[in-house]
Order: sequence, then C-alpha cells, then structure tokens
Amino acid sequence: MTNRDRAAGTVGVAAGVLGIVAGTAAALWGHDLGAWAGDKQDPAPLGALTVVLAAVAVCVSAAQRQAARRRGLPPGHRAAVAAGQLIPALLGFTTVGRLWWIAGAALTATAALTISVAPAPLGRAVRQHWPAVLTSALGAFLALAGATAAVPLMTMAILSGALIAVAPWQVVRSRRLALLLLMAGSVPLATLTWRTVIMPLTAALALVTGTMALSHQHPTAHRPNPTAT
Amino acid sequence: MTGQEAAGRSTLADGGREPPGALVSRRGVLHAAGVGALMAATAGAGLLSYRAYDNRVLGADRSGAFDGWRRWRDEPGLRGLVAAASLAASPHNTQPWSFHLGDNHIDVYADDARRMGSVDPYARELRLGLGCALENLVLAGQARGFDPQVTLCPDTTRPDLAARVDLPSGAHNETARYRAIGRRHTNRGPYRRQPISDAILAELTSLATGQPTLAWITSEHDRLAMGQLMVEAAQAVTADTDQSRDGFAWFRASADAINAHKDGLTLDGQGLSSLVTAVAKLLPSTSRAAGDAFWVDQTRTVHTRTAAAYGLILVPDPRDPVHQLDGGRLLQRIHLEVTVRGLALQHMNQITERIDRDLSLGRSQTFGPRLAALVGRSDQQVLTAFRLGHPVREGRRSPRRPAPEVLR
Repeated sequence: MTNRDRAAGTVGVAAGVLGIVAGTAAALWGHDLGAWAGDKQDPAPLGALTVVLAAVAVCVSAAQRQAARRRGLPPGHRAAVAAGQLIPALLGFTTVGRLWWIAGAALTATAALTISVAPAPLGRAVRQHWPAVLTSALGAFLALAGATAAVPLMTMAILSGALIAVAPWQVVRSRRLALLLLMAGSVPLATLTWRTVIMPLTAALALVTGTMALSHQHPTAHRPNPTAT
Repeated sequence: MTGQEAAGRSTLADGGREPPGALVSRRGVLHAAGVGALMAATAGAGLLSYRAYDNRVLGADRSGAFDGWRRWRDEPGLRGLVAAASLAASPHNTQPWSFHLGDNHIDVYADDARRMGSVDPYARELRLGLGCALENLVLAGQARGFDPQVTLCPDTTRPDLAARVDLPSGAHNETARYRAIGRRHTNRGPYRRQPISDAILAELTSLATGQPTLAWITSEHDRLAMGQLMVEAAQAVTADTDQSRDGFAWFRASADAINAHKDGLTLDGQGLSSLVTAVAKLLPSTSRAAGDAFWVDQTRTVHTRTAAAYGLILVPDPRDPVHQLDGGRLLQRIHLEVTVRGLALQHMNQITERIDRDLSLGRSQTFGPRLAALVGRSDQQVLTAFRLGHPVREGRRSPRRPAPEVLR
C-alpha cells in the first residue's frame, strides 16, 4: 500500500510540475501558442490559475509521498489528497488546452491510484463526513464561479470559497472557529453578489451543509486514525 | 448521528415503532431523501458554477473582446485613429469596416461580407456604420494634431472604398465628443419618464449642418404612433424568415462566441437588469424564435414605451451612398453628444429595414407611407431612426475587433 502511495505521490508531483510549466507557458506565450494553449482570449490569467491548480496537486502529492514513508494516509487525508489531485486535473482541461493533456491525464490516473489503495475506508470516511465534503465542494464552486470576475471580486470569491471549504474541518479545533469561518466565507460574498444568482444560492447552500457538518461531526471525529491505510 | 445509524434506527417520527419485519424505516427514507436532495442541489450548484465561469456571469466585459474600450487611446500613430473608429456604432454591431493606413492618409473600406443580407439589401445600415466610424476617426485625428479632410466615395471604380481621409498637420483639438468615444454605448434598457428639454434637442439639431437634417418626434400622440409603427415593423421582421435569420446570425449567445467573433449583439447589451441578465446567462442559449419573441416584447414594453423622444435623420435619397455615409457621421456625432450629456440612445432600424425589404422584393410599401406621414416632409426621407431618453441603467460595452484585425 505504501509503495503504491509512494508511486502515486511521485507521479503526482511530476505531473503537477509539468502542469506548472504548462500554466507558465500559457501565461507568457499563450497568444503565440494558439490552439496548443486552448486559443483563449485571456491566456495570462488562465495560465496563472493553472499554475495555482498544479501547485495544489504538487503539494498534496508531496504530502502523500511523505505519509507513505511513515505509516500511511488516514482515510480522510486520503480523500483530501485524491480531491487535490482530481479537481485540478479536471479543471486544467478547461484552462490551457493541449498543454494540459499529459499533466491532466497523469493527475487523473494518480487520483485513481490514490483511491484504489484503500477504496473502502475512503468511502466510509466520505460517507461519515458527507456534509463537510459537500460544503468543501460548494466552496470550490464559489471560487470557480468567481474566477472570471474583476480582480477584487475574484480574490474575494477565491478567499471566501477557501474559508468555506476548510470551515467544517476546523471543528476539531473549535466549533466556534468553524462557524466563524463558514459565516465569513458565505455571508459577505452572498450579500455583495446577490444579483448574480449563482453566488448567493451556492453560499446559502454551503451555509446549510456547513451548519449540518458542524452539528454532524463530533470534535473527536478527526483525531488521527491509528488504523491508517 | 451518522447516516448508517439513522438508517438503522426503526423509531418512527411519531414516536411509535416500525412494524416487525419492516426493511426500511420511515425516518431512514426521509434521511436518505434529504441527503439525496442536498447532493443533487450541490451537483446543480456545481453545474451552474461552471456555467457561470464559462459564460462569464461575473466580469462579462473583462475578456480580450472588450480590450478596445480600455486601450483605444494607447495605440500609437495612425493606428490610434483606427482604434477610435473601431468603437463606432454599427448595425447589430457588425463592424462592417476595414482600414488601410497610408503615409498621411487612411482609406476606409466597406466589408460587404458583414452586410446583413435581407435586413440591409441596399447597404443603408452598412454605410451608416461606416459613417459612424468616419466620425470617430475624424475626431481622433483632430485630437492627435491632424486636420482630417474627408472625401466620400473617392473612386467610382472601387465601390468598396467608402472614404479617404487625408491627414495634414493641424491644431490639437481634443473635444468632449472625442473623450466620449470610449463611453458611448447603445442603451437598450428602459428610460426614465422625463422629457428631453427643448434646449438639448435644439443643440442636438444644430449638429446637423446642411444635409442631412434632423427631425424629432416628441409629442405623446406622435410618439405613440411611432412606437406602434416600430412594434409592427419588429413583428414583420421576425415573421420574415430571411430577415429573422440574417439578424439572428449576429447574436452571440456565449462567451466563447463573443471571444471568437468579437462582434455582434450580446445578452449583456440588451439593457436588462443584472439579475435577469445573470439568470439568462445561466440558462441554455435561446433559440431564434425565442430571441425574436423577446425582441418584439422588449420593443413593445420597454423600447417604445419609455422613449422620451424619437430622432430621425432625413436625406433626399436614403439609397445614395454619400447620403448614407453623411447620415452615419451625423448619427455618431449625435450619439457622442448624447453621451456627453449623460443621456441614452438606441438605434431603431426596423421600419427602414422593412421599407428596404419591400422595395427589394418589388412589393407594395407597408411602412413607407405611414412613416412619411409622421415626418410630414415631401422633400426628405428617413435614413435612420433612434430613440432618446434619460437612462435607468448604463449601457454596456459591446465586443470589438481590435485595430490589428481591421487593418488591410
């Protein structure tokens, strides 16, 4: 199991680095690269977004390699690593065209390998924390919907999405902190962007699932699992 | 409580117990339904978020197709004049122009591939657009220290050569109308119920020197009659399959289409509220029939109902290329002056489109005599029409081809 995690982590880091190179190339020479960079009108910001996504994949894959050297990944962490590999892999296909194909395919395969190491405990972990998983997904959706906005609003959407995504997982530290993060991520953004329909709806849904996650999860639920796989 | 625990319990909501042998408790079913609904809602939010990202619900005018509005003053030399000309009004935002830069002149060409077929059989609107571009070009030339001299249709052997603009040195003259070039947008939204003062109308009228001339429709009776004519003409255009198709071909329903073409009409340019625009962009693209119905409805309920005044540009012969180009210059001049004064303007060509259509098919005129009766001038005919008013909301930017794409 640890060997497969080590392999997945290594491939994930390599694919992520390739993705960073692809994003950088699109950001710097996107107009000259044409169809290779997806024929985008604004290759620079999309290239920068790709670099950020690929960096996330590199970070989680590196963490996966490190964990493999020790005693393995707990199921919840495994789910987070798989998400950190799969979500950038899929989003990257919409940002920099063919430049992403190899990195995206490799990261998708890496995510599949990460899941295949221990699918049953991972599935149990996701089922156990489903409101938190949904809340994190909604945070990511908010960041995605705001990715084309003007820089101040885009920054706010990404920060708000990040706050919402991490909020339910902070319940082990403090329920009050988790609630504060959830409110800070959803209420100001929903208020500011109420005319866009999608942002307030998503933020309101995140409030519902986030509140459920906070009442659903016992503070001890995230303590390290001694039977990590 | 976990889902498994909840599913495993057999206690009923009313405090009773499940009948012996029941496989699934009512509470378990309700719990599963709740979880399923939340997952479905989250999946829906994911799809709509991607749609919002892909169709630019936020930051609609931040893509490269709108760079012309932000950078039109930055282009060096004669390209700067072309950048200004590229921001002019044109029918359905077709931008039917191209430019050739000489050493000290610019040639303005008509791009007949961008003429709207059955909507514009005599190239009336195409040349109106070219005239609008010419006016911007002249204003930009004056602002950059030239003394632009315009010759319309300079070569009878080259019908696509609409004008030559010679650019000898002159005084720097940066006018308010020049500065308004980057703020001028067609406003298809509702206007306030507030009349345009006679003084403003008189000043706008004074922008017409000689031919073409300008006429206003301001009385309630005449505005109602004109509005009715506009609605009927819009209905006739949409009922004419060729005109409907040729007009709808210039509607850009998605961000991808806007970025690919950098021209045409967009949802953001329809003058709708932010909320309605966002919903429209999240929904699937509209069909031609739905788009036609929407336009007729907007014409009836917004465009004609809230117009404070109608303006008409009159010429002796609306099918004469020189009159068309001159009329376009006047139209752009008026639109820029209206922008300077914080007013709103929308071009409304459906009546003249029907007049030209009937003429091109050899049919009897349906709209010509009624429009002529409204104008009351036997020596002049309507070249184009527009409505004027105090805006409820600002007009939005339209996509533009940048200067390098319109040079030949």
